[in-house]
Amino acid sequence: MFDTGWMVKTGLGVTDPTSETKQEALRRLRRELEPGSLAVDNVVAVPDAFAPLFPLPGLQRGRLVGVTGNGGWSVGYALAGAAAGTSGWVAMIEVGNAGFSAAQELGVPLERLLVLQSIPVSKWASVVAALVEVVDVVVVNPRRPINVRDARRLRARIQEQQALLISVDGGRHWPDKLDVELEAKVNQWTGLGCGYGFLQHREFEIIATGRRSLSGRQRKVCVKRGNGRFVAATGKSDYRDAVVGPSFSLVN
Amino acid sequence: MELQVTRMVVVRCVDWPVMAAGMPLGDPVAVMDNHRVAACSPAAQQEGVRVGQRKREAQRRCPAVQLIPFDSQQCRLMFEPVLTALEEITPRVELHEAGLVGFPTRGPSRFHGGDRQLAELVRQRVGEVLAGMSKEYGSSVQVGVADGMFAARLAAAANPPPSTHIVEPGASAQFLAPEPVTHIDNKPLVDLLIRLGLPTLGAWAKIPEADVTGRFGYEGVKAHRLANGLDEHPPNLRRPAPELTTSTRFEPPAESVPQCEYVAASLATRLLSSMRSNGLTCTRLGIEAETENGETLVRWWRYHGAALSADLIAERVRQQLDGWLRQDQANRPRSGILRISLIPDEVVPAGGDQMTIWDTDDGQIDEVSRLISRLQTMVGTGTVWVPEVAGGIGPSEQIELVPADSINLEREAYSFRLSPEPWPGHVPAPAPARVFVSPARADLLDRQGAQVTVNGRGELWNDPTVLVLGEEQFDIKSWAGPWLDDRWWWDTTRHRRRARMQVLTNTTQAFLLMSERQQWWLEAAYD
Repeated sequence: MFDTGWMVKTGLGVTDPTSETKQEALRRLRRELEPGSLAVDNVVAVPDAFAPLFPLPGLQRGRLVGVTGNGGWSVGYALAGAAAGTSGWVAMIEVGNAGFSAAQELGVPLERLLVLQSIPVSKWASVVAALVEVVDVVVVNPRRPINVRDARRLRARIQEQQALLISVDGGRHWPDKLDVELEAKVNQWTGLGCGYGFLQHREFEIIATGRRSLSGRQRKVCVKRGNGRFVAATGKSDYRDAVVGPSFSLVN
Repeated sequence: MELQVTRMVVVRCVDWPVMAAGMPLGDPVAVMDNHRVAACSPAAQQEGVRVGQRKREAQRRCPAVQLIPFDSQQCRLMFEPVLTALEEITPRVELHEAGLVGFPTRGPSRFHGGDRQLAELVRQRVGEVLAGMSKEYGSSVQVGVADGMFAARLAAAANPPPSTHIVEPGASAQFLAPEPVTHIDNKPLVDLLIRLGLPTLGAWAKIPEADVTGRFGYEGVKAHRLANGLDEHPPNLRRPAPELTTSTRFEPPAESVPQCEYVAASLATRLLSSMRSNGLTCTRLGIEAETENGETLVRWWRYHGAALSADLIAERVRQQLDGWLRQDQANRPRSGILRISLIPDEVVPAGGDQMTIWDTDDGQIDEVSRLISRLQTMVGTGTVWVPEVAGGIGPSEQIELVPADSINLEREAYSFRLSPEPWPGHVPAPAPARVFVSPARADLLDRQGAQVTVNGRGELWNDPTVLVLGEEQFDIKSWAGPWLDDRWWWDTTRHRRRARMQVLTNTTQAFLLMSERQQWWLEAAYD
């Protein structure tokens, strides 16, 4: 009566249409293997679906990125995962309440992740500065305003070390605007009915505004994801009819 | 052949951590480090306790075993009298770890009339020192003499203590041949050799060196040299340039050990960076301290394998000075420390350490390990964590954080490659991006404004329409569940009965709610 094993069956049985197709994988690999120009060497990879947000094929190194909005955390994880690639390390500093499984789904390498907690407020900036020397991506969630001196020092250090800082508070606690700000918005969730189904796919709209990387312009992209990484959304919703039927409804 | 290897005496104090803690050897005692047995008394060993066992395993083998924590500082401090005794025989004592020292036989051996006499003398002297600590410790000394440190270590361990074992000059390879390859301190290589059908050092030594170089790279060559009874690195591979020696003067003289340790850390950083810019790394380091009165103390530290970090060197400096201060009246320094020098005595080209076939990591793990220890000196322990797969039904249980210094980062990396099966009844992917460590209270209300409740059969009494989170109120668009998580139902004290629900609000925010004892909690958000 209390057996909830059916959940697993549904979880595995539904194929995920958002996972990378063979063609996409090939395209991505080809692009990664291409001999790059100097400007390209200086960028960190971003998720393929996010490419239209940035003028370069990626995000310039040494930048501070803020993510905000409903779905902002997922966008932050996806950026961190892509920037870490196959060998980079990621650090999360005082990012309480992080969902590590979600981070893993979005490509954050948990085997190369350091999590720093209960850092004294006075040491926060020095710890971030020490981390970026070794770690490629630093994810932060400042809870109180960062003072101007620390922010300037960190910005210089991150630029010097060519690291990437992702602030999941959307840059609210920073004294000045971050280099790139991404605002996420979930347009639609599918898979959940009234008393049946489960959350499966969602469609996002991401708006990027940037002080430096985007020369002040706004760019927008529509993306979607299931239980894997982000993929580009093809305009109209693909999942409108994909709500799981009553065969998956509660059995007990 | 003789040119390629240094003849060494090795002194082992068996079960040193047990003795350093002052425990009687007749009782079953295990010294625990990182939840594993680091050393155990002979009595415990007889019961089946082994080094490397987990705590529970050791307790199962020997329920009466007394567990004491490993205290590296104590181990090192208590070892100081042994070093002092050996220094009367030779000035070149190399410390590998507390309880294991070696020195070249050349010189002392001729002076005392041969290897055998020297070994006997060493055993006697060390035995006297140990007996001074406690009578029964006197017989826990093993001495080995052989060509090369590796063979000498195995020679020392060949017979039960107290013992001396001499391997004749040139016979080291022969002595090593029947020994298993597991003595090589390189687990991935050893595993590979066993899989390749080379279980003994003799079999491994027979492979031509050129083939070893081609197939296994630098690490392989090092291990191959050991199996052949040679030194890991050809001796005097490179005479260290004197300018590598780094020293600092204190003005006024330093009065406290922490002050010296602090300065030594920056000194060590300087040394390491100058060695790195020369493409070198150090396998034997001398730490020399001089006081205002001109008293000096030099200790030679041997490093193999362990990543040489500034913190490690600073810790060695502290241990050395602490030990010096603890000595008896005749030997202890009587004034402040004036100078500390770090002398890289044996240097080898760096970088070769990284060329391996079984390990594609490019030394980054070392770098991260150094970073972790650096962060811990900055903000204290218990701040750096790494995720580990734990498995569980709830979103907060599937991955748990463990202290970064308590685990081996390489092994950790491996654990993620085996993706575990999802637990039955877990909430299906996609996983929530925010999982609240301490869930906040939530109110889930039906159309009439009454709390939505889950009945004993795991069904909802009423359909949810409104979700209240603190000040905020959301209209619910769709929902699913509840999914029961009824665990430890056989145990009245631990029994927990919870139900989870996914809800989607009109603002397209999705949440995972958890109900326990008729109270809803916000467990996670699909942010």
